[in-house]
Amino acid sequence: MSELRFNPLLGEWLATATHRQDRTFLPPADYCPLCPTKGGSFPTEVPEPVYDIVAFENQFPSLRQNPEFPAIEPDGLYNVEPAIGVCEVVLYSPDHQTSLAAEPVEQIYKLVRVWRHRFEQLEKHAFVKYVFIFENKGEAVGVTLHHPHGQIYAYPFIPPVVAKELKQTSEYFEENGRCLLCDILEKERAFAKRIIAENELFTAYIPFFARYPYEVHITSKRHIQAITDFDGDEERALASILKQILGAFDRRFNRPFPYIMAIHQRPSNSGPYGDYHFHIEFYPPMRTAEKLKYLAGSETGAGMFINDTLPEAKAAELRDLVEPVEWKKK
Amino acid sequence: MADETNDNETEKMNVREITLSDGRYMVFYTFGDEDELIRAPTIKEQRNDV
Repeated sequence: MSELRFNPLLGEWLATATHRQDRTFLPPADYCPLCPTKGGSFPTEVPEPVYDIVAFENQFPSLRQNPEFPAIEPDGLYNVEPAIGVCEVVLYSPDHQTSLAAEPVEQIYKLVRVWRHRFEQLEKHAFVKYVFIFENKGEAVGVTLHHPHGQIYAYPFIPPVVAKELKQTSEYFEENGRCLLCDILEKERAFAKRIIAENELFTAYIPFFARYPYEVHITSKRHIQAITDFDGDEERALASILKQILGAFDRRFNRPFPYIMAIHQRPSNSGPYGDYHFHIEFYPPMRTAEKLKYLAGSETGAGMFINDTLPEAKAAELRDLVEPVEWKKK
Repeated sequence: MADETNDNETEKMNVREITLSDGRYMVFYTFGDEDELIRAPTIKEQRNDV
């Protein structure tokens, strides 16, 4: 049973999804429900073995296209709505043992094209107001299935973090006549010490205002609002810089590096949001090889992050670990 | 089941959607010339072979 409940204190929607308590939790690799079903073996969620990438509706969604009606009535103070939306799982590979970082850049390029296609398909639903593409990687951020995968949530509202960014970028544009992300990018590139990697079309950096030690942002150099604005060169260039950043992450502590990857784009079915700017944010929980950055009292209770490191120092660590990307010749 | 092929200047993206037994959709993406892909039998086909 899912429903959307409104928090009048924060002005935010949240979802209750009690059925998700029963979802599969860290199964052994031999019983991974996201591996392709093999003949003579137990049936997994994926009935065919040959694919590059698969996207499908989550078996335990918090939002669904035909949701139940809430069990309670809204009363003006406590508002409730059906949990309408779409929750998709995107499998990066049939191979259980791989990860996005370990995949060749050509596979990441395929994923970028799949992201674009899913974005286009999901925003065709009139009820969808925001398509959020993300990945949770590693048990440190709550992953329950190790098969390499990301997720896409299509929300019936603009989620709070993006709404806040939209407000900031809009106000900045009204005051300055310029895009906030374009100006941040210009400032970071001029300063240079927080840059990690760069190609002709994207820049990766840990921003001046990073909340996490390894909070990498990847921003398009062109002022575009969504992955649907990409041309073919941008699809390849994003794949290249993702490959470089994910590789540097894994090399930092010589093991798979946990992170949350959030792709921030314009909302759907409203707008035009011309003053917004496509970018990706990574929130890795590691602050050292053995220590996690916890969201404790100040972060969770008050919303003020305390970063125990300087972005300039952490950017230098990652920059030294970036390797060139080689595409296979056709 | 819906079949769709999007041309791209480098590789074709082939999109094939199926409906699972519980009504959910699943979209398979393959890249390149589909004729060149070695497609393994589906579980349904495997069962029919038995």
